[in-house]
Amino acid sequence: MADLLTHYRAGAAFDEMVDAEGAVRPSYRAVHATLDRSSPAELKQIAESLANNYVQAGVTFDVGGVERPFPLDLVPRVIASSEWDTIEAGVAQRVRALEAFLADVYADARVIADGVIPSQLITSSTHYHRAVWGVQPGNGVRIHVAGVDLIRTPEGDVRVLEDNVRVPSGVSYVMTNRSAMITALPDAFANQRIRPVAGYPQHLLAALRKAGEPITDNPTVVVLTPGVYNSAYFEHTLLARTMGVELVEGRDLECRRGKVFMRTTAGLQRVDVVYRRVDDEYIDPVHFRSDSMLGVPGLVNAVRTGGVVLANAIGNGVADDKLIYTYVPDLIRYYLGEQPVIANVDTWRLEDAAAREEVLDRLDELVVKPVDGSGGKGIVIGPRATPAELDALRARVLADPRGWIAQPVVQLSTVPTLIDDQLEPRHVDLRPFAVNSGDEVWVLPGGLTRVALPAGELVVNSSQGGGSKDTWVLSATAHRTPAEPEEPAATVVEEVPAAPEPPPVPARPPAPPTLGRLPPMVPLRLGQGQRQEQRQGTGAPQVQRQQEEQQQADAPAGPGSTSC
Amino acid sequence: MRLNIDHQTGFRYASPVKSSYNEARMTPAATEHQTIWSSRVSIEPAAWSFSYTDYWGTRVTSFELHEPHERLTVSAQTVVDTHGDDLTWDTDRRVAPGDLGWPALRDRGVIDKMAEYLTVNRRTAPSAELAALAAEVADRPPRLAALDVCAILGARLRYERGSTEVTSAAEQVWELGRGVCQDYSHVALGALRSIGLPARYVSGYLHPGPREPNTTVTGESHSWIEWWCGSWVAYDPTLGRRLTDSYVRVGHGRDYGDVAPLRGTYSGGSSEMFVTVGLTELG
Amino acid sequence: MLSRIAESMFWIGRYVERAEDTSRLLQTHLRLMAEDTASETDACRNLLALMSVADVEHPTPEDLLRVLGYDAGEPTSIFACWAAARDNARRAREVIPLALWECINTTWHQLPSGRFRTARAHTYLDWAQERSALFTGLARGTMVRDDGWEFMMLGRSLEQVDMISRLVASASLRTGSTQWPSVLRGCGGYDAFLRTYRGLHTDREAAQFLILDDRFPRSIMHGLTAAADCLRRLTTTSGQTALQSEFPARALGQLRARLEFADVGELLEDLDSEMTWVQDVAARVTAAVANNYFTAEDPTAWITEGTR
Repeated sequence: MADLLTHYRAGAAFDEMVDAEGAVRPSYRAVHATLDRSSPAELKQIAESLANNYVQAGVTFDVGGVERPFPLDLVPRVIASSEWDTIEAGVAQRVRALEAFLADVYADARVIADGVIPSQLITSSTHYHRAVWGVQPGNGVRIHVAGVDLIRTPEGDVRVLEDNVRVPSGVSYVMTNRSAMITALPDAFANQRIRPVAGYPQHLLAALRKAGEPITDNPTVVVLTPGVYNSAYFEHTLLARTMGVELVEGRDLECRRGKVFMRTTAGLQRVDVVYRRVDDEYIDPVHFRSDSMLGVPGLVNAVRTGGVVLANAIGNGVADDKLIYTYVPDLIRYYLGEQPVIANVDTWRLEDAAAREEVLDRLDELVVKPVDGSGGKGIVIGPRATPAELDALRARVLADPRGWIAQPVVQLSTVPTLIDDQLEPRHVDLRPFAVNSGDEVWVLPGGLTRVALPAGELVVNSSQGGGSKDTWVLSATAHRTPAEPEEPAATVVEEVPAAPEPPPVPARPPAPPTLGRLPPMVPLRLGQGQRQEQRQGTGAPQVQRQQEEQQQADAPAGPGSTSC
Repeated sequence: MRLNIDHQTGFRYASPVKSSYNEARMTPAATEHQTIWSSRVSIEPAAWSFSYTDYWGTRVTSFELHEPHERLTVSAQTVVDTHGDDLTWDTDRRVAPGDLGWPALRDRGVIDKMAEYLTVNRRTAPSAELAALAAEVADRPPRLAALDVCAILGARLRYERGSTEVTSAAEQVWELGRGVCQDYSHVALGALRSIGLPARYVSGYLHPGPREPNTTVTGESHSWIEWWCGSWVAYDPTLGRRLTDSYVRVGHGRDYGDVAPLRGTYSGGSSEMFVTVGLTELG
Repeated sequence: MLSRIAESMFWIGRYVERAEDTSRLLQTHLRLMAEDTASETDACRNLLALMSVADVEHPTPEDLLRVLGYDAGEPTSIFACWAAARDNARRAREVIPLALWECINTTWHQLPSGRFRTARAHTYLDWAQERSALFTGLARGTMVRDDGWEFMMLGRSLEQVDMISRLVASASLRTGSTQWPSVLRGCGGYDAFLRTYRGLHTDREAAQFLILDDRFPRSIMHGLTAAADCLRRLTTTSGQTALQSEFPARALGQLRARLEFADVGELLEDLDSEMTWVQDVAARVTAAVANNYFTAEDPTAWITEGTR
């Protein structure tokens, strides 16, 4: 039935499926056809089965201790093959530039001596950790996993919104979304070649093992998690499971004499590579927060003496600092000698007179941020500010033009999303994931598409009512038409985590057998044996709070107008 | 003068500690004012250790203990030749030819490069009163302004042990009116930075006198400051004078936290610190 | 495997077994009381005492159902057992098979739905036993027989030994010849007993069956043998020195020998203290296993101090 799509209209933003005239874009033809054929009831059923699958399998997102199902919308986001090539190259380029940048600022800082960026940008960053200055990772890689957030402007350009090179998360949803979709919409996969995503854990493991090669031929890799109360715990377990490595918490590890060990039933076992999902501030009470219960004392010593590799390295935060973001195109030119493949969101540095004039003219339309600010202080969002606030801002900018930048409020592109049995456009962004093995930067085809579910909402952060979509990167080979009777979903032969099955319904119990009359029990003395109840260590409120606090750096940050 | 320094410091724990991770910054570095002949750090009980040079250029000995112990002792022994600052610029109130003026110090590029030494934190933030007093003397050349700022705090503070702690902040110290060299240095840093003079914290040793060859004198782990007005100028705010050859420099940082002689992280109960420094002029 | 995970597996085994035994026990008692309400309060109190719950004043069947059945706040309830099992399973999620996790997760999701309070108690208890049985079946069918499996079965066996010994001890304080049937029913062995002993059901045979008959999967002897086997296989794979693992194996072996070669009549006469001894051994073995395999540092506070 064509009902669902006849009323679908793109808004002011770029719609991924239909253009301004309402014509369906080539990459979306198959999806459009499938949607066109389906009735609202059918779609609703698919949506419900997707939701149920996730609840039963425990694919949830922890918000403040409450597990909520992570909404997966059934309409995928589709990316044409040629466009993906550009995105892939752009993401890889950014990772390479930031790698060079990190190696530089934790050593000689040529980039400062050559005047490319001001020294203050580094020295005033709270993520610039002097405790790891001078440390060189074994194979030179600091950004083993990166998540580069991309958006599409109303003009149709893809831009980088933000780099995430500390503890980027969300890749587990990419994999579970894919396996859920394969189960729910097998026909869609039958009609097109879509690049698989299940290879991610193998790529990551290979990169981690490569990082451990300077230490030993057969490195032992572990995943370090803050614990069950962390919002991304599901991802930690999934990655450990699909890579086939141990999942550990801080207290399972011990650092002695620059080597790291884990406590097993067979005694202490050496660990060579730690894929750590614990923030820098918590990772080692010796050099960082001394009250941290999630880290391992002595870890920085072990990193410095080369006894262990941390992925990602400590101190990466200086590279995804929002202030450095404005300089990344310059860093690409400086370190790689290349032009940026994907541009930043337009940013005006207000020390430039022409830029300043334009910005001050449109102050109520733009987002103005202090260059020297941190933690979002001093950011003014034009459309939401009062005239008095804007006047004050104007004065501050004129007094110190060097200290401000401005960005437009970006209208993210939209994709049809099932809202109350209707398909409506909702804003999306994209976070592709890149794995750096040292030899190459591999980008997972697609990535996490986050969608803001409330109408018009631009903030897609999952903790504020967001959801996700499966992301399909079409293969370079031609689409298969339904006429070709090849194996259907077999092209997507992936070792995906098995699609969760519906829970077995408890059977109707049989009628209880009749019993002969039995005398009551007489009073009994209490037994001596101790009923051993177990208190789990993680119940301690402080540990739980620290695990939850990790959320800030770990959760996929939302873009939108308040990107700070 | 040629000096032998014996610096012993450590912790006494209330109950045995099974595991501790420590860093010692007790190794003087060669500068234009001092030459190092030998320098050795030893630890008791025996520990696994390694050395590296940190971000501030200070030599660090990092060590771990994994056997239960109730007492940790780090001993650093150094033989060094020191040369003092012979020009009597402080008593003569003389500006050096290479000194920059205030406009140069306010240059964007300078502020950018010196940002770390212009930022104050909890430890160094000056009280409003001190900042106002410092602003009053900021009308003269930077070097002289710095001298006068130090004079202000020298007049206000009295040297006294035991009234402050390792974690005390400059504002508290100013209110209290008393402190040790670490406190004088923090107060001075905050005041100087507030008038736009980059300044850094220096850690080292001081031979208090009397000067008698081959006699061991009890000295101290001392701290002073350096400000920048075109070059780094060393000055001792506690004693109110420029450096003589009685000073041995270990390293510098933004405040005490960047150059603490010994820092230890352990799991357990309470600890008590001890420090003894013996200096011998080698004749 | 990680000490922490081994510990989780051990407790999963114990908690799921505890949930099963509790539900069976509760069901038996409710049936008994349905037929004889004369000393209902006593009967309820007895059951609570057996489960080491002492703080309910005048217990009614509703209290029983609440304390031992669905009250999330009561540590002895079936609900609490499944919640604890899930908590442990969540932390060991990457080790246990997906089907097993889903079994625990689904059970836990359906427990607090509240409908069990209004529905017939027996529906709830049957369902609870089924879930435990499902768990055991899935574990048997999907788990690799590695250390995780051994620890889980070790926990299960020790819990079983503990529970059955309490039940058997309860038979020692009654007079009359009809005490044993209720005990047999309480551990689901009445029919099996009848089949095994074909008509010869005296106290002696019943005691023999429940304590010594290795072929009955819920006898004490069976549990001790299973626990000892788990320990033996763990020692082989963990590479621990003989000295470390000696104590628990020896303790179990000694207890088995003691029971095996005891005169059943003597056992019957001193049933209460014999069963107490069994519980003691189970507790000490648990402590020794924890000490040998599970030692993990408690999250301690790290203090940083500096010297001037």
